[in-house]
Amino acid sequence: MHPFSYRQASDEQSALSGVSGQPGAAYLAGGTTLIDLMKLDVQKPSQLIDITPLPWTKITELPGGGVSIGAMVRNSDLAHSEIIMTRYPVLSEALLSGASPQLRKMATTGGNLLQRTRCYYFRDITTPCNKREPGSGCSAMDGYNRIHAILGTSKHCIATHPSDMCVALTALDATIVTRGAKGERRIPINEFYFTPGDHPERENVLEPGELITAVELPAMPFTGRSHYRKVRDRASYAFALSSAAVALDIQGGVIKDARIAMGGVGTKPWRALDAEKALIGKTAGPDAYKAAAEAALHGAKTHKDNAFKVELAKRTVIRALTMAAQKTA
Amino acid sequence: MNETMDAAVGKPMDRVDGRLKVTGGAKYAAEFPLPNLAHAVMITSTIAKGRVAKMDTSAADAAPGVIKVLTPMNAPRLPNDPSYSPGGASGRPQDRKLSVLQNSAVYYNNEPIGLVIAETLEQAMHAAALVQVEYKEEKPALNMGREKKNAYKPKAANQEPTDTHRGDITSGQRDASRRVEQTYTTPMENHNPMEPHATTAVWDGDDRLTVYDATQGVFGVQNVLSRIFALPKSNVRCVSYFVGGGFGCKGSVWSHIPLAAMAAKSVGRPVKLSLTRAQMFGMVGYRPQTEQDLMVAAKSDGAITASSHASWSNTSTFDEFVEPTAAVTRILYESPAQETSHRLVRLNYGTPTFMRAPGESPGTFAIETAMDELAYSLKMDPVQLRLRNYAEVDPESKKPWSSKSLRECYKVGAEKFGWDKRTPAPRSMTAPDGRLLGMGMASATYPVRRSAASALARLLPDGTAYVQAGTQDLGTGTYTIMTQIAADALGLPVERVRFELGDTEMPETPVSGGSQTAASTGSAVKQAGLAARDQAVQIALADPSSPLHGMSAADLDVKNGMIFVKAQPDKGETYAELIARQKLPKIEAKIQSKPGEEKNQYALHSFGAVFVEVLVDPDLGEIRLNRIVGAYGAGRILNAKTGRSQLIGGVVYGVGMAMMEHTIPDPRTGRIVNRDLGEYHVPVNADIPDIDITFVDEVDTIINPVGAKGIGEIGITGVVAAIGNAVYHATGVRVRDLPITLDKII
Amino acid sequence: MEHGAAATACPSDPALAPGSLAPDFRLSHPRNASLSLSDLRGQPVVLAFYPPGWDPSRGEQIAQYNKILTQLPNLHAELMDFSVDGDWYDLRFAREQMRLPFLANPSPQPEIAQLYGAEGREALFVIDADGVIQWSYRAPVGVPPKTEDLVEALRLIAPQPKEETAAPKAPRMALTRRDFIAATLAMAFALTLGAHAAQAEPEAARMGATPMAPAMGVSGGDTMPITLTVNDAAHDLQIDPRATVLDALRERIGMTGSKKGCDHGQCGACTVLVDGRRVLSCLSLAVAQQGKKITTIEGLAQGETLHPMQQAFLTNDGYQRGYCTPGQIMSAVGLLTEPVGPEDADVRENMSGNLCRCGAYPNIVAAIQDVRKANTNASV
Ligand SMILES: Cc1cc2nc3c(=O)[nH]c(=O)nc-3n(C[C@H](O)[C@H](O)[C@H](O)COP(=O)(O)OP(=O)(O)OC[C@H]3O[C@@H](n4cnc5c(N)ncnc54)[C@H](O)[C@@H]3O)c2cc1C
Ligand code: SF4
Ligand code: FES
Repeated sequence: MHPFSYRQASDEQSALSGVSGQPGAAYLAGGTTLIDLMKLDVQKPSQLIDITPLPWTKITELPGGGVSIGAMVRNSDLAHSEIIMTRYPVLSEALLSGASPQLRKMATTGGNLLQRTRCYYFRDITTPCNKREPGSGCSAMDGYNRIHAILGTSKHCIATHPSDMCVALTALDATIVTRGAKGERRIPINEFYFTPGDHPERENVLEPGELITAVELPAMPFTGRSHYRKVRDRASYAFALSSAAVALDIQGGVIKDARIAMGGVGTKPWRALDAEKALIGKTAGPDAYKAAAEAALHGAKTHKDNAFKVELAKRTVIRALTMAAQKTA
Repeated sequence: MNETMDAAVGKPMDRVDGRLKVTGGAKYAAEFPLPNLAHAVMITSTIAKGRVAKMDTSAADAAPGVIKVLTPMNAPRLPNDPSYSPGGASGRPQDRKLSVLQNSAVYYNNEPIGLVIAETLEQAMHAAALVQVEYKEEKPALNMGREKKNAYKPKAANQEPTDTHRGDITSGQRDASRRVEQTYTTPMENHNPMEPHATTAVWDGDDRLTVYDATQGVFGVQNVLSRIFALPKSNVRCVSYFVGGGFGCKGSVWSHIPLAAMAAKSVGRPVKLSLTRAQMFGMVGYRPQTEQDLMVAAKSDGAITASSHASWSNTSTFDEFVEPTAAVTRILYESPAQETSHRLVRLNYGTPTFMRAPGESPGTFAIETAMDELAYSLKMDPVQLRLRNYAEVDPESKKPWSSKSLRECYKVGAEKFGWDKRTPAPRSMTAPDGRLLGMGMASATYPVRRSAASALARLLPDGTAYVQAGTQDLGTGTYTIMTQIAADALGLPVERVRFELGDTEMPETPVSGGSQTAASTGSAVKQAGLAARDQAVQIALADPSSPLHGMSAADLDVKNGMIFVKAQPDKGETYAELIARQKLPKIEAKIQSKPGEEKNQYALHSFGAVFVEVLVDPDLGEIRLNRIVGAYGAGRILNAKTGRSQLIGGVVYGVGMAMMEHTIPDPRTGRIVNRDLGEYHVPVNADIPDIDITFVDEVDTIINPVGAKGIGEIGITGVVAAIGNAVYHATGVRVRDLPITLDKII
Repeated sequence: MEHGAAATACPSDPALAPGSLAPDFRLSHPRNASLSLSDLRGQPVVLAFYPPGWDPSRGEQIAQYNKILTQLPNLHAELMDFSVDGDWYDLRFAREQMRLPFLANPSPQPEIAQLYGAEGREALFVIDADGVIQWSYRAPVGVPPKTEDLVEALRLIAPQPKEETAAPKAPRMALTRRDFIAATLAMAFALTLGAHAAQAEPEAARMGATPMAPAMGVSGGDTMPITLTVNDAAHDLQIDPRATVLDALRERIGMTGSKKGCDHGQCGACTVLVDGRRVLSCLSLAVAQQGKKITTIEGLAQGETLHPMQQAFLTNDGYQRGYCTPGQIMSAVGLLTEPVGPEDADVRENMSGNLCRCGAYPNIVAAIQDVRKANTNASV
């Protein structure tokens, strides 16, 4: 690990001023991504600003019926919060399927949004990687790529976004609230992440030093009928090979509205808008789900070791829809 | 008076080291507090073949806290360079060729090429990252399929013959009505004990060396270090009181051990060197990949008429290790005609090594899957097929078994499992929740090994005893079972016996591998205990002040520390009284115990049968184990509690092998891509169902004085095939390439 | 843990604070051999206490203390040889001979441990020739003092160095040392060494070793002063910001109960409780834990009474190699306060952050369920 200096932020202002004009500074939240990558020398901040003392630890109901989640709320606390379990079960389920109990106790909402890919080569500084070192090449493309993405890839990077939580947030149309030099910004999650394109090193719209303060979930009457399904290589404590977060508004057997997002297959938490469209107005049932799954994987591009993900992802979507439909809204 | 009462042996006694383990007090190799300790961190290669052209250590040398940076260019030359150890077919753990900075050659990725020694761990790790390395790279051989044309025949297959041939294969095949011919492949796998390899080295002056090492064999470490540093053996001491798992990878002496000693010597301070998890993928061995061609032919009644098992595995380009996968096929079933062979393919990876049931694990996967395929082809019940070909004597050597309870294991296992409820057709059974239900079974077996071992038993004036053997406890319960054996031999309650191990200053014993500790060291401990007891008895008989004076030893017994007359149990005296009266500091016996003729006259094996039920999601392909039942005939079980744990552990290891373990090299660089516990998957708690273990009663008076066959490895055998067979039964998909992951069955 | 010099010796008992007279006691033996602490007046004494129960590494530790003594100039406390004569040990030190009552009988003398507030713990008292406590250390079993601290304390009782001459190499104690250790291990405490400082003559370090370097701080690199609260004891450390809680515990404080299996959050061996929540100490920076309460495996037992979870792991054989065990137990203790369903399957899922390569999972689940059932029954 490279040497760094450490400072605790006492409030938002001291956090922001700590990083402004400090190219080597980074915020430290739960540390489960950052410390891990610092040990691997993938990230080498010269200064850490510990933001865990900041008071964004509450989950509050918003006037319009939505919910605001403080950036410092720990994943386990969020998963077990009453309001999330009843109103947004898909989020609770996604969180509880991620990492391990210990990691969930450490990981924060803000940190989870910004976790980095688990691409083997990204995590190994002795191999070329465009995301880590722009222009050095992509080792995964012709290397071993079973865990890599099939949606949103570019010829420069095929790394998967690993988060479970963000897949649920994507399905729920969450808004990310930030504070930076220019004041507060409210960014819809669907506009928050970039696909790699020509610049895999740029992963999201945050400006240097910009702080995530909260995540807001809009009021959505049908999210009680939502579900997260994760498929992985062992029964627990593994990243998704494929996952799906879905919510269904079914009235009289007909699908009025739907939300579908996928994990484990995309270079960012993958919203499947076409699949949602394919569902609306259809009778809830296997045929509609199958059509939606086909639409969701349209345009998937596979590599040597990950071709199985296309079929797996389709079936994951179908399963998640089937399970959600069985819930009472 | 040479029979012991078994007051302790066999009982489900709690581990004597349990308290230390649950309080965090058990000290592992990296945990000995030493004054003035420096930390070493290894630098490893990032290419698979070539040489180190240049190492720029200037930044590291200048980094805070750095004491020394060792490279192939500046490392001290060793008296006996282990790059030229014998190596070779013997596979002897002490003969490994090692990479200890004596030259700049690189044979595999992640090979040691440097060492940074610093005041703190953080400083050492950082400085190691600052070293710039330039290579002269050559094209490595990394693909077994591609290199198979250059396969060669090793001299031996890990103590077994390389090839065997019996009967006439062609006519055997002609007599058969069904024949299975398939190729089974298994990937590289890494042991991944929870405790990373670690060595703390301390020199006293420049000719006495102590290492605290995470090892399965303290004497092996002593041997190799004394050879490398040209020291008398008595000047090298190796200590290993607790080992946080080995499974074979800590059975050999690998490069980091002499490197730690070298580092300590060159900075004149104690040095601690722990490998990172990533560094455990390459330099400390692994299970090689195997390719196994199986042929089994049988008559319509199931009788096997011919079989063959041709096996390829990889070794390194500079040393040799053979995974003897076909050995199991030689002894498992009657087969009048049979051919088996082992070939090696040299690749630019580190040297492979023994990993839990080397040979038998991948070997039983192949033969026991082929047997399942044969059963389907014959439309015969898999258990029936195995019974039809039951080997009453060792089919290869024709020697009788010292004991064999496999028939009983099939019966008990099948009953406990409810095998009769199975409908044979694939996809014919479903669980209430709609998942496909599959049931599969397989046979398990492992040879019984024993080596010479010594032990010392000492009765103390206060009526307690301590017993020593320089063996290791890998969590297998050695401390506990040896305490039990010694207590019974001495006629003392276990509370008054302390057993010590893990130090080369104690009597010499073999490496803890191949499930031989109970048989080898256990026999020595028992005999040492009996000898000390007999000595005490003789002293009493000869002592005119003893109430036992002049009696005959045959009339006496010892219990609870009291020597007494069998016919008159209240007549006698205690060890303590005897020793006090005699003014002796102790009564002591040290003996060596060796295997005898039994190995030449009998075939020595454990056997078992394992039954598995899986549930498979029909769409997503997720495989979940529902329950596992295993029945084993493994001789005397010395502690019912730890014995059961051992078998469960073996089965869980097999679950990993069957369903997830897979060391994946990058096809271009030979660098293992999943060099961590995040992507090298081992089973987690949620993967493991109820595991029901039964030991069938088996009395074996031939095998060794304790009657124990060893149970460290048999648990992993068979279960891999049983899982695969159950997956086939559930899904109709036969996976012949491990691990059986969901992408292979959807 | 309490440090004599740094954080007053035994705050619970001022009578044991450095500077006070070491309480006297008599070592008695069933057959009349006996010796009082006061009989040893005129020579420094190091008292080492261990809880009853066996620990193979204790011998190493005593040997280590012994070695430290040999390397300190002018102390002449090296144990050269030992023999048993009836009810007595004859100990031969570099400069003198002494006798100790033979205490191999594991009948501990708990009242002495009690006198020194050392029941169920490891404790070390450095007592000078006048019988005054100069330094003391008490900690849960398995947590030896930092050798640097001990060396400092011993310097206090050693006479001033005079002229140095080269010393002959001392014989290695080989088996005799082991015998001594083996025989004393099971005692409630071990009186390990004594030496006549008065007889000290100029002579350099023994065993060919150079004298100990002075207590060493982290040289180079910026460090920060922090206070870590571990098992209710405060530790003042000057620490590299890069140090994780795990490395601070293992390498600085000397508490090696928390294990390093992967160093990357992938195995759970390093699990500790921070403010009651189970977290991974390998991904937590030590500098970020000020003001938080850290609980490690060493802090679970109350003296000699194991925490119910520790006891349950022992009874259910919830381990083999024992390396993942502290993490499993800490995780299981954390789990008890979490919303986890009642079934075995719930426990399995919620213990899946702790890898066990020995496959002790079924026994671990059984252990945890035993404790949970006992808790529900108790609260009904
Ligand atoms: C072994 C392992 C397994 C895992 N498995 C899973 C899994 O299965 N599913 C899953 O979803 N995740 C998994 N994770 C990832 C885990 O969820 C993330 O590491 C975690 O959510 C990150 O949160 P944190 O608070 O620890 O972030 P940190 O590591 O503290 O921070 C991550 C990044 O975000 C920045 N940051 C943090 N907070 C803010 C803020 N408020 N404003 C601006 N920037 C900020 C930091 O500077 C840093 O760059 C796993 C992690 C590990 C180590
Ligand atoms: S896939 Fe992306 S992260 Fe992985 S090596 Fe290629 S560029 Fe780097
Ligand atoms: S050492 Fe912390 S999780 Fe493995």
